Amino acid sequence: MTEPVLQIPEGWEARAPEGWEWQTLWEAVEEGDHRYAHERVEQAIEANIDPRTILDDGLFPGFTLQGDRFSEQIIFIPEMLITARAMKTGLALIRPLLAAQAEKPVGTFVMGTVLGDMHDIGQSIVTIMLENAGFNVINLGTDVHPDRFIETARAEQADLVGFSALLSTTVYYQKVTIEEFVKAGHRGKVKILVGGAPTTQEWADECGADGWGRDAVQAVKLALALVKQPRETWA
Amino acid sequence: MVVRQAFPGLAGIADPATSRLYSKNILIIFCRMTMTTVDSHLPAPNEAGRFRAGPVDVRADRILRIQGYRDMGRVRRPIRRAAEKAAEIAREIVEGEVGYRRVAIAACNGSVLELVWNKTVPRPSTALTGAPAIPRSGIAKRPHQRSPLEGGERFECGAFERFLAECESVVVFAMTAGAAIDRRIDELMAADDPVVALLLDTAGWLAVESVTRQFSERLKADCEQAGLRLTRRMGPGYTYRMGREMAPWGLEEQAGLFRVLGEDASPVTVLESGAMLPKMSRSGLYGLRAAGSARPAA
Repeated sequence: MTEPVLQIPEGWEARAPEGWEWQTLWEAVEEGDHRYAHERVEQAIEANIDPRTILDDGLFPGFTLQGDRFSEQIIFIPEMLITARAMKTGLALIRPLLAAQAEKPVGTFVMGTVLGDMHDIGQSIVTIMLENAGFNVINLGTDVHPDRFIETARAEQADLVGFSALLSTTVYYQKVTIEEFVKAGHRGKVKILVGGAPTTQEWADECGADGWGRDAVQAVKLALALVKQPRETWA
Repeated sequence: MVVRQAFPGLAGIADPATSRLYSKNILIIFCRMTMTTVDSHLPAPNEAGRFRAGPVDVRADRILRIQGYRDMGRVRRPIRRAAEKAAEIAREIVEGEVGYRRVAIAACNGSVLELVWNKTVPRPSTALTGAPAIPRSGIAKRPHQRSPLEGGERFECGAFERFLAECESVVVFAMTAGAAIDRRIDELMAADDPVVALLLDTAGWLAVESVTRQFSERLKADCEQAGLRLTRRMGPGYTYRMGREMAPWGLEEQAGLFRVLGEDASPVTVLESGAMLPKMSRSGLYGLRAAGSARPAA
């Protein structure tokens, strides 16, 4: 097991006012101190630091460190959620500023729990993580019919679609929903991720998904990679 | 401690807010069967019973272990506090209930199980009996072309013949940890407290396990008194290993199981999709075989 270390953004000093420090914000995000994260991001905005710089140099390092620790199973979902909450608090302050600068989301992600499954805690966590990573996430909730996934993906011109299933009893509907995308002629327009407790890489391959999110952090990494891959365009 | 309690009826048990919320989706079940209250004995065939579970066994350490923590000494204080809070909430608000009905096995041949509870009751003429449960895009689910069974239900799973061999009847059940835990999780998410929400979700599943254990222990004790033994639990949507083969019991048969149980006997509502409300619920059946049977109890 490798102990992940904080990746300090190269040349961050040149992008910040003289005497500025990010160390306390990195630690606040890492430890999940959302109150301090809020305060420090407010200070950064007041100091006229570019919102993109606040995100990349101020918020991401602590978040990425915890994501790496999660991948190494040094920390678990609850710690990741505490960090995500602090990140979200800071992100909420800079998101309007990013939008004002015409910064587009990384991609549009339609997320939901498949038909027959009422469980939403897992996909809610993935939604938080995806939003923190810069995705525009449309969360359809639970017990989602394949037609609703298709209609929403088409209406939103989604880049990615994610199907969550908590139960071994409902995971079958991930495959069904992918088949419905094929029948509707939209399979090539979106990248599809599946995830949830009963899923595996083998299952993802068998059901025709583009990727398997083993956990929330992995799902985000996968989404960031898949969104860059070529797809058919929505008409 | 297992608490046994007879129920006078269902009035006041169902959550009216939840029922209204999902009323458009809820299956209309026309079956009407007699329901008797049950104190300590296994119901006679076709009779239903209610079981209210005692306090649920939900502890912070178990919640944390399920989340992946192995060394409890290294769990950060805020996480430990959140787990303790979740366990406390669960112990406080969970109201474990089970509705069940004993039904005679009419046939168990190969992969087909036939349960007939009343030959005089005509088969309900709802869309559930023949039409696909999900009509919008005509999803082709697992092939399911069987003739309806008059006054009963027919189920299909490759594991029935083996797991229910020599059984004379089954106890069909639906159990829940209650709607309060679903509501509290939603409230916590809305209040931006996903950590406690996540841990409470895990606590809810531990509560369902606890209710299951209490119910099966009670049923087992009642069976012993009646000279019967309980088989392992089976349920729609689960897959069973049969040597090298896997035998799935399709979730689409969930509705049939609830028809056997009867609307009045169930503390759980099943949606058209097969999903159950409250969320922290479980359905299934146990086989009952004579204690002298050569087959070991599961």
